[in-house]
Amino acid sequence: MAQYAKPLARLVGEFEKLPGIGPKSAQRLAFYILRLSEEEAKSLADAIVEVKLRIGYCRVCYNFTDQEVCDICRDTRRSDETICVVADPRDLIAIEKTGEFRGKYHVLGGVLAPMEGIGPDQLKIRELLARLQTQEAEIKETVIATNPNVEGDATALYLARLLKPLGVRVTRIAHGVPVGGDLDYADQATLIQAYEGRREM
Amino acid sequence: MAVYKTNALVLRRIPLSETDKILTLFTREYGKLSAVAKGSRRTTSRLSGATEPLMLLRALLAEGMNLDVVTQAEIRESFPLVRGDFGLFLRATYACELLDRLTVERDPAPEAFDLLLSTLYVLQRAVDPDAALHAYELQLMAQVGYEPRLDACVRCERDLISGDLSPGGFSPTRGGVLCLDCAAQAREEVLPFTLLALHTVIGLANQEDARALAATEIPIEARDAINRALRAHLRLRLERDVKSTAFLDALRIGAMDDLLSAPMDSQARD
Ligand SMILES: [Zn+2]
Ligand SMILES: [Zn+2]
Repeated sequence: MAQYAKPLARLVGEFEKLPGIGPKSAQRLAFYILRLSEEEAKSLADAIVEVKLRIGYCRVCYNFTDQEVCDICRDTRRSDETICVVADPRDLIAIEKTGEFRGKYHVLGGVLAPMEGIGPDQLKIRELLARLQTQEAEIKETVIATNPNVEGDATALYLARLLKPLGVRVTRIAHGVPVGGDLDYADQATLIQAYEGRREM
Repeated sequence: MAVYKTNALVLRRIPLSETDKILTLFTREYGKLSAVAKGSRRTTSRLSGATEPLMLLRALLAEGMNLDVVTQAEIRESFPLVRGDFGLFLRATYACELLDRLTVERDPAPEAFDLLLSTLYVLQRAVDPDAALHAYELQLMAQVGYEPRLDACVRCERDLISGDLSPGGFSPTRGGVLCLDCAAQAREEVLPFTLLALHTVIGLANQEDARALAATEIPIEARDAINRALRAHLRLRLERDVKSTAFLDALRIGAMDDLLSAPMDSQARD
């Protein structure tokens, strides 16, 4: 990066660390910022610092929030009877966007990955259990919405083992052929899952 | 660019980019190899399901500059019973990780491939999944030359089998059983190992019949000794601990079911 002035090289270097950003894109972003007014640049820098300072985890569901308890958890119009368990805040957003789910969430902060040494203790599973045990009367169902891959499956199996003895209903979101997709083009694993999850009509 | 077909088991996969995965495949013909599965992280990809761990594939690969590329994959077996049971899934994951750790890339080992495959089938109908797993560990170690000495004292060579002599213990450092005299004199760590444990382990090491193995049950009195001896033996021969071992141990002692009273970390990683 000898061709850049030092501060510019630093900015390009920082951008390159971001996911999905290669050297070319990093350069383009850095030059874009260079053309911004000082005010615009400050506003961007402030936004980055503010998100780091103000955003933390919701004390109840471990979603990101700028308050102690997040908006979803405080929303009295949402049901306390169903908790949807997701691995990641991005999964929560994906489900929220459907507008279908009106219960509360629990964000695990990852999935079980034996080969990576990620166990139950590194996830917010203890916290989920505590939630179920203190509000027992309220929570009737936990919907496990982990990804349909080996880690997501293992996490769901583990949670089912753990939660069923508490007397709450444990369900998992179905997986199958994508809507608008073509059976002929679906991969075998998906078709097998879709077949196993068939429904009475 | 050369293209080849092979039977492969997916040992593990890591994300490479937003859309691609890198797979560690164990093939019957070429041994272990890494390959890129392009687009396989997309939910609409035909490869997304096939490129998950524990899938047995008939795969078409193309030789690449650095890594080969999976161009087509047909699932031959997905081991649904293993995937659907947490305990079996953990054991299968451990079996895959152990094979990954004990082999190098591009070194054909068809007997190791067959052993893993038959272990996954046996796990699906085993009355005692730990019997299947320990038989796998013992037989895989024998294939790579890490097997513990079981027929005679590893220190003085005294024959324990024909005399039906009770062993004095198991020495992970020396890699085998010790007679009573040697166990008493040993300065290294000696783990308890009974005659029952010894007979069980020898039986598992030599059991090649899948049906019989699936029906084998490890006697309760010998269970703990066998677990501990094989674990310590393997840990010393591999540079690092097999990561999924911690999970299996936690599962075996029930710590995984009792998160609140028994934190997994303190119990599993002694
Ligand atoms: Zn919340
Ligand atoms: Zn001896």
